[in-house]
Amino acid sequence: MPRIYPKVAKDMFLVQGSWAFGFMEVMLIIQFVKIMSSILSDVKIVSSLFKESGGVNTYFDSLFIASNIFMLVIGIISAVSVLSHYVSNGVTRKDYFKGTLIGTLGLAITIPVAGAIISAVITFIVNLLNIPVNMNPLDGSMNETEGHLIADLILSIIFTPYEDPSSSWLLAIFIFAINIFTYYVAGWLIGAAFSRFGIFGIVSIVLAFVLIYIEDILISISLGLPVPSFITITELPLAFSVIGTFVLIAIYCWLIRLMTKKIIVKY
Amino acid sequence: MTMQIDVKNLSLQFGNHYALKDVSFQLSDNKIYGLIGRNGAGKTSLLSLLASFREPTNGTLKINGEIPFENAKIMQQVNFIFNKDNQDETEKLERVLGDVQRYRPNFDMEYANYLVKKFNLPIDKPIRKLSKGMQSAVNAVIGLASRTPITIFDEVYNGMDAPTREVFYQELLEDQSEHPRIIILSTHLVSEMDYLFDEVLILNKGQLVLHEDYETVVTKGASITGASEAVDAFTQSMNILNTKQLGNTKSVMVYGELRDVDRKLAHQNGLEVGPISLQDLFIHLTEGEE
Repeated sequence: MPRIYPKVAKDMFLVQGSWAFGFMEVMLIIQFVKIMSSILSDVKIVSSLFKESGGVNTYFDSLFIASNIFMLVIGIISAVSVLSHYVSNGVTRKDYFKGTLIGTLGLAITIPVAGAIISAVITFIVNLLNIPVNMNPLDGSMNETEGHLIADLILSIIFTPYEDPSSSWLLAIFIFAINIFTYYVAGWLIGAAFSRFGIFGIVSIVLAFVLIYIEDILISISLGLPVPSFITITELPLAFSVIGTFVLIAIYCWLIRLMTKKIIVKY
Repeated sequence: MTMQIDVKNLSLQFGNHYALKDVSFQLSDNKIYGLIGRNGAGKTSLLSLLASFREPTNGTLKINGEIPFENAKIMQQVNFIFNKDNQDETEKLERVLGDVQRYRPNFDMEYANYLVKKFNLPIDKPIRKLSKGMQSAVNAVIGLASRTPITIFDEVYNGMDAPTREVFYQELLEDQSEHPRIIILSTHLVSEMDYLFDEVLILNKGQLVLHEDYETVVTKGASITGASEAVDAFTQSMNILNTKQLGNTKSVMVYGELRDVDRKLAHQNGLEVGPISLQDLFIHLTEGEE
């Protein structure tokens, strides 16, 4: 019998990819509006989120911030409705799990690569036409807080560790991919927990926070970005942080598999 | 390929309540099986176990000698079609059928397109915008065109109007004869669908109360009508399901093999022996205190 999970992987990549495509289109329109209004009003758009250097942040950067929530949401949808769709088409929960994992990994790499290409094209056009817009990269230190745990948490949800693509494309794409994949797993966990335990699934939100927070701290230390004051380690090799994040993600995936292994499909 | 379904002492429990209790049966021929039962009798619970939507609490369920739950080989061969909520289905029928085709090895797209035309379904409208009856027809198309060796229709005909249901029944019979498989139809519409069934299973309060060949079921039951005393005398040792009296005329519904001798005797006593329908049998086998 032919293996089924590669089919699921391909379908999950394409279906989630088509959602991502729509989402990236919207982000492109926003980027266009930002550039236009920056030119028209001749007032430098300074998003309150960014430093006072002014200018419009790049497409890559806007995508970087918005993708996290996007991935969290599609992770939830995957566990809540995609799983039952597959089981009712005769696909085992195991094949769904493996296929989704592989398909989403592909997506997590594709989004930043596509974002980087689009971003480069926009910058190229802006420079070519000599459009007077200031394109600024994000400032990685924006999630600096004063040791307030809740503020830390919220900031680590909005701003994940950031690497400026102009300094290293490959690393920037890699960090982007890890970030969004972590968010997907967090959403997947929440969706799976609610499907499995009903309202008690609410506990999973805390677990999802923990995952995002640890990933944030690990990568931030390695990139030399500010971390909460209670973290005393100031240096960690990037390889260590990446492996640590992978191990953590693997543990969470294992939890998701445990919860969905015998899950009842509602009808 | 003929599949074999073996159910032994199967139970499904929710807290203290048994949705299914000690159900045993075997389905081993490519026939159309009618699964009938009142609301809450456990029909859907039984079907969801067959489809690996959940696991039983007790007992065993085997398909071709294997446990179907999380068994890719078996799950691919079982298709459970029910009236699912399509409120959020933004995909068009074309896409939905293409998607099913990817996961059902025997899916016949040509036949699906033929059915789509037969049911007058718009191929380019999002499913959620279709009427309830049309959505039911979509489910019917998926179930028929998938040609899975075990195909289960759980009340999918509920939303359809009478002419559409008729089309469905005809297609079901035709396709079953061309591509024999196990088809399980669960229904309330007994009188309308009984001619489709080769075998009948009646569930009542989570228990299987009857599993017989349709012909046998119908010939086993009879209505005896005539003068009150004569009917009483004739039926006194029989299994009486129901009694109706109008003046001095009595009509009694009996269940059990009525031998030729009995029929002759009835005739001699001036009694009329008539057939009873599956619907009557169903009603009287499952009535009683709630």
